[in-house]
Amino acid sequence: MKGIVFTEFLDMVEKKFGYEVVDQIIEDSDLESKGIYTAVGTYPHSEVVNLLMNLSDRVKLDPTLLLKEFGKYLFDTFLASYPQFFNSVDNAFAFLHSIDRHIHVEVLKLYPDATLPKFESEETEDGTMIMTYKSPRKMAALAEGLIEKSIQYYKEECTIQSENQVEDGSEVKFTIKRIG
Amino acid sequence: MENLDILKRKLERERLARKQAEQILESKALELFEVNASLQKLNVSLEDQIDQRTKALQESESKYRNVINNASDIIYTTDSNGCFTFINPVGIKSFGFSEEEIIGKQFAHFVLESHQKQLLEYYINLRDQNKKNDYYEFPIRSKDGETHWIGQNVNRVEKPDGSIYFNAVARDITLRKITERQLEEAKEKAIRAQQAEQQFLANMSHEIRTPLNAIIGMSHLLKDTELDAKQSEYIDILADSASLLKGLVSDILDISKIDAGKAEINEESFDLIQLINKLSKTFANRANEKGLIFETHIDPIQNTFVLSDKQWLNQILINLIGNAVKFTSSGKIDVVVEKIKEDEKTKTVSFTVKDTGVGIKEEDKETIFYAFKQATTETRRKYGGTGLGLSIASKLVSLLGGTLELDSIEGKGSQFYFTLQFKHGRIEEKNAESIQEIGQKMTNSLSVLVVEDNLMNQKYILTLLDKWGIQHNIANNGLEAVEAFNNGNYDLIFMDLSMPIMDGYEATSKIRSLNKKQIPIIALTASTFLSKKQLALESGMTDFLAKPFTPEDLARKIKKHSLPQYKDDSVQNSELHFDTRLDVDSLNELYNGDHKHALDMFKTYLSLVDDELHMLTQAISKNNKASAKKQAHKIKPIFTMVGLNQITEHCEDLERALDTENNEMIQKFFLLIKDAVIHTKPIIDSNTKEIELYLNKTI
Repeated sequence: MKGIVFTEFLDMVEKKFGYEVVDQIIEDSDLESKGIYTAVGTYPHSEVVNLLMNLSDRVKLDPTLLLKEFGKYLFDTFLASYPQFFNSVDNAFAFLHSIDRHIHVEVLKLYPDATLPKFESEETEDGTMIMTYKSPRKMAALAEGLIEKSIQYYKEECTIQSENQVEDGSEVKFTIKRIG
Repeated sequence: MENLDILKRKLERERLARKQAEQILESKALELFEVNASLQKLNVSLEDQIDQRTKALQESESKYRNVINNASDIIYTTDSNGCFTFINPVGIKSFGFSEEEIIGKQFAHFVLESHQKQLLEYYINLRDQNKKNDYYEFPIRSKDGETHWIGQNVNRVEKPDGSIYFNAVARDITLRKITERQLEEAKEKAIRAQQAEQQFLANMSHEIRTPLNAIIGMSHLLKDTELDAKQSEYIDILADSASLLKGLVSDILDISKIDAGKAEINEESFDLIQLINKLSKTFANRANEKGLIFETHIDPIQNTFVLSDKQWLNQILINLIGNAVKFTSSGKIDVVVEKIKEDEKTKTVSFTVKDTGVGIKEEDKETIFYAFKQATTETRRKYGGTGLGLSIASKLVSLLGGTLELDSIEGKGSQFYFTLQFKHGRIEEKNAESIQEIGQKMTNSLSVLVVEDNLMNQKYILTLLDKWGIQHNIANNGLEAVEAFNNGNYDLIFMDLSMPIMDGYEATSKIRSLNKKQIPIIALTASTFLSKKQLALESGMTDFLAKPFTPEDLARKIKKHSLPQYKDDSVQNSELHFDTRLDVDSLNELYNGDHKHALDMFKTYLSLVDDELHMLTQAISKNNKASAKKQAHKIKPIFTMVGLNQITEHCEDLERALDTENNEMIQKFFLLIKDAVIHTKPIIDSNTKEIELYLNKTI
């Protein structure tokens, strides 16, 4: 997993809960990397899961909720680092379509070894958007946080329903409906 | 305390993270550096390659430019409109203009006006790919006003974008053109010289034959008078010497005629075996006198009549058999006639004359066929003769379509042989009558006018006419002849050609213009040249009698032209109005006795043929194959219309040859056509007159 996920995750934990918690979950997690991350490095996916579970234990919060919050936090980072992806379209649905078709294509050019989730997107006749998240990493909550934040970014209001397509959460369908 | 530990760990983690980041960055930087270095290396190698290729291109360009600039031929290119885009130094020199004056100008600008239209056609053909780089010659005017001839091959080149341009390799052929013209002039001069020589020979022969005729004639008459033994012997010597002299003159004339290509083949139907037998009889006597055995072996032949030149064949055999007898002192002479092949139309016969005489040395075997060459000067001293006999025989055999060949062993004997193919002749029903019979049948009612200035000749003819009881009058020149014709009533005129006051041609024209009945006028001529006969026919004469002539010759002419019952079959038989040298069968089929139609066609042919041949000559000399082919095709049928089917075949051959690049064949067939047309023209001309005469008679 790309280092940026780890550095941003620990940044978020520090901002929300203080460095003390960061220190605790690193110490709790018996990590191969000893919790030393840089944005340009690559680290095992299991470490982020480990950190997330230990954070959940420490702060007594649902890991899914934490992951969703991380998604929201990550959106701001992406927006600051890659504004060109957001300026090229003018509405949320167009942006969501562009993730799989455009943004991930560009990411792979920069990081050929990155394991990216699949985001299949389609719009039904009544204007509902169906997005299907597919990833062995099972981090659909992170995706949901990102989706929510991007709708807000384009100043739109939508309802988002998520539904597991596969029990283990490796495939999740989001149904996004505009309000009004 | 705990907080301090956390802070310490945080700092430691950050320090390690920075270190890790630095390591990653460093390794990335190294990677970048290496990639950059290899890119630079690639760049250098690419530049090297470009350099090398540029250099190679430049070298190649310079090499070809060198070749083009130093070429001895003109090399140029033009765009699709024929405007110059490049010309090499030789070209610039030939055109005489500067490079700036040539580039961008249209090609036609430099070409003489007379050839511009053709040039345009040439380029249009090339552009539209009607033809491929055909060779073409044309004149240009250089800056100094001089005409230069250029011969060129042009290539049409198509560029990848579909546009076209021309590149050409050309040569200044001015010198060649001048040489060609000089050669042509030299050739004409040589022909004129040859004509003058022939004229001289013809005149000389006339001058010699006229008195000779009188000597021979007189000796015949003298022999008929009462003579004592001594006088008779003198007369015989006189007659023999005169005959020998006549033979000599004939030989010299014959050889000059053959050499000048003027020897005519007069085909007639005759009995081949009778000819051989007659010759054998004569020579057998002579051989027996020398103590030699003389044998003749003749294969049985069904139809012994052949169509050929009897006189020439006779002369060939006389020369060969005469030589055999002359050069053999003991032993045997064999004359062998073998039938090789006989089919519906022709028979092929071989003739062999074999002796046991002196033979011929190996080294002399070739030269003895040359004129005036006997084997050795010793031979001449010992045996006499002119050395013309074998040369004439050999040339005449060739003329009749064969080859005279020789096998000989010195001291043992010689064998001369040749093979000829004959067309079948007509079998004659009647046998030749004796002179006496002719004389008896000639009635007193016949009246002949003899126009002759030479007293000896007058006497010779008149004595014969008296002997046969034919009425006659004498005119000493053309003027007297016209007067006599006006005042008298004659059945036949014998007309000498060269006479004082008015010659035979003029007199004949005058008599014809009086437009009385069409009286036969027979030319008495010492000239055997075709041109003289031609002239005689043109002035309106009917026939010829060559001097010197025998009583038999004279009698035959009289019976042919005056006695209806003796007239040649030809007057009744429409087939015989065509010269046998023409394709008589095809002509008869074509005109089916319609002489008027035939006459029209023959006249048309004569009026057309020169111009048509000229056009063909032009096309060939310009190497314009398409035009030559068209012309050959166009003129093809006109030859068939006058029975020159052979030329039609040549035209077909030429047409086929023109489809190929074989210029040698093209030249060969063209020359065959040209020569044949020129040589056959007198035949067509005289045949036209004969048909006309026939039509006048029947009207």
